[in-house]
Amino acid sequence: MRYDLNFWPAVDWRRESSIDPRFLTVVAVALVILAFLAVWSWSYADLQNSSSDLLGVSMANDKIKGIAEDVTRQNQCLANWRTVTAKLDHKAAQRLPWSNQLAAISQCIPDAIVLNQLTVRAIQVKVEVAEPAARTASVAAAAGGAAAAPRAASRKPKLSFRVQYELTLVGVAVGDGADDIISRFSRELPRHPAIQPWLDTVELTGVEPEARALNNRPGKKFTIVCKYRPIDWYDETAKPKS
Amino acid sequence: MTLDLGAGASKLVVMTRQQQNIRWEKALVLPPLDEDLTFGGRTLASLVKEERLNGEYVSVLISTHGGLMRLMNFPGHPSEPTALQQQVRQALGVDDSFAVQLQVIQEATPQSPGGKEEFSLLAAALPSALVARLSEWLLAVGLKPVSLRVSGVASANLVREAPGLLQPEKAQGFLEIGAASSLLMLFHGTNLTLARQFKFGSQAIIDALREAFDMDADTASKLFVSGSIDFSANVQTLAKAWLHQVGISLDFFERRHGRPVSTLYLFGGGAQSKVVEGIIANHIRRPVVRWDALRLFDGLVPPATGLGDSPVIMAPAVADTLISMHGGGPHAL
Repeated sequence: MRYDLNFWPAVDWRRESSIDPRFLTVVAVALVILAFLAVWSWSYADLQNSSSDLLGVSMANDKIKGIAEDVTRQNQCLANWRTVTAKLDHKAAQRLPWSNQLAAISQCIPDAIVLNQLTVRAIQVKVEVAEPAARTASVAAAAGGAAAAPRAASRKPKLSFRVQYELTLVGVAVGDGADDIISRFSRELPRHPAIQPWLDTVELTGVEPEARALNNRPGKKFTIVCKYRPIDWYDETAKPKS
Repeated sequence: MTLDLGAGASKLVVMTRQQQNIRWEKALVLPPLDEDLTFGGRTLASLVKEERLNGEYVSVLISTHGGLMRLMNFPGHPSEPTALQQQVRQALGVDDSFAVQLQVIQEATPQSPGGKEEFSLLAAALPSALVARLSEWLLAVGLKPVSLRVSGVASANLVREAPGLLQPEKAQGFLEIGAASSLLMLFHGTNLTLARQFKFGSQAIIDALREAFDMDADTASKLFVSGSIDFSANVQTLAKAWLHQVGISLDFFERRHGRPVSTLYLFGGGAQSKVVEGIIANHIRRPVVRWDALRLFDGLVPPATGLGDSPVIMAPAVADTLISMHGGGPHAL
């Protein structure tokens, strides 16, 4: 038996060996502050990194800015040239392919016919061109409201100039049945696929006897006038009839 | 940490514990604690700082400032605590200004066949103001007060805790000779059956030597400890009453228990003198030995420095520190 006789209150060793709640509170507060500081630090570091990246990108942008402007300008030039090329191609497509026409005509000519003369003449013709209805209506509405629409509809058509080719074939048909040969030739010629889209009218004229047409053989002389459709050289939308 | 506040010197012991391993870190002998609660002008705060004392919990032993300890026998069974304490106060002769601690150490048993039952209690008293003042003194330095005991209680615990010392069916006596007082404890087996305090200590002998040989106090203290001069003739008269009371107590104990005291062990500061050992042995006619209590504690390694020339005077403080460390069980310190 130990003799205690202690004049001071006994120490609660269990409590002394446990962690002081005040210490735990301080630790908890310190952890919260530490977490807050860590989050703030990370945010700040992230912001600094973003700023640094942004600065680098800006500097790189400044470096390639001149190049980009050149590229943009070249792209615009290229686009313009493409547009011009497209227009030229379109216009080229609108022009009569005379080589095709002549090849087609040569295919249509029967053996009994000999062409003596082939003449192409360009004629300037006037045509009336009506503006598209929707555009007219919208322009009129913008100008004067709903009341102006009827006036716009009744406006005078616009005159435009076209080019019309006129092909004149003068030839001689020999042999028996020359008339039939000539009439058949005048009928089949506009039906040829290479000629038909472009052709407007075919007129057979001047069928008359020819004493010595070919190799002193008797025949008949004829004239066929082919009038082509008027072509607007400046209208990009004009296309040959399919 | 344990502070043993003696009349001749203050002893300080610092021990640390890791799991079951106890290490004796420091031992200091300081001047006695004065009324201003300084050790010869050195404050406890400066002591902790300068000596790098890392003890957090402090036990205090006190043998001065009006501290009392007495073993009492009362007939019958212990009464209810309040009445018992009043009874003890009357026996000690202290009023309400003293704090009293008591502990029944032997339940009511017949002292002789057919005799009346008696129980024994150990009582200690200290001025209440001193108890509070010492607590505040430690708290002000940031130390936690663990226990405050009269040093005699610590000495009794030292005897009880010394491994292999007390043996059943054997009577042994222990005389702690302090500077201003001495304490005689007689054990029957492992039971403390008699404890008497005497207002006589080594300081009275040293003062007598100082006067007899006309020397300063420091030289007289060294002469007292060294044993190079037999000064028994000079102190025979001075110590006569004290020796007589010690002899009477031994005789009383032996008559009461019918068993001779096999050995009287001397410890404390006064037990450092071989001359005192001889004086006591010549007077009581029984075996007397100077007891180095710390040798019984296996594995207790004194610190390399700070112990001075008097490891034996540290024994009660060391025992009290060990008890404080073991007292809390697995949760202690």
